[in-house]
Amino acid sequence: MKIQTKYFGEQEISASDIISFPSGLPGFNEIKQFVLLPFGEVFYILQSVDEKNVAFVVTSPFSFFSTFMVDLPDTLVKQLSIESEKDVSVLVIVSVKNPFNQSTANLKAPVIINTARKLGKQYIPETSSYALSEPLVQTNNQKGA
Amino acid sequence: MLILTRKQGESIRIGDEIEVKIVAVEGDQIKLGITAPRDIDIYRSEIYEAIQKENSQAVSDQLPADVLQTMKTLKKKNK
Repeated sequence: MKIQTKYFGEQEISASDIISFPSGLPGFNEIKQFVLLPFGEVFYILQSVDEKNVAFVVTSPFSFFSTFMVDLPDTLVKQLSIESEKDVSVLVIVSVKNPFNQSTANLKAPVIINTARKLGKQYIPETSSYALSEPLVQTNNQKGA
Repeated sequence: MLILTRKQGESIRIGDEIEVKIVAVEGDQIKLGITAPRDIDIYRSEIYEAIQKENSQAVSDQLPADVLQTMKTLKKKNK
């Protein structure tokens, strides 16, 4: 099927590419179908199948924050029908700025995807010491995550 | 919004499967106990709203071509 995308124009996708987000995402609760499109080597675009302009820049947090950790509670594991950690993909939403080195990542609410069942959700931990807007490019202080 | 008053120890039922109990009242802090099905998520409102706002901002950016180019050509770090 053909979809309209924010960064790639018209794209051909197949039904098996579609990742379902049964709860949508906070702020976008009605948007429940996405595809993940690579954007270079490091980034992906989490693109809504139906709404061209709902497209999140995402990346693996481990690419930028080597000590990042997330512990998935049983309720989330059940909600996403996760059967093996091999099937889990952790992504974070990037707020891209101009210039690029001022961009930030939302480490407080990572996006968790069960790649085997194509189910996803933005997970908001009960408590998190991570930042909502953590700079991607660390300054000389090298705070890390 | 439904407004009602409860005393410590009393509770409220929302639908058939959700219960909110006033567990303790200590000064201006009210401890709530919430019972809900596993598929219903419970958040502190200010945190949920902050995520909503951050998501909306992340989506609304109109990025210039040179920023997009920088992103596309960034290479994976070799550890």
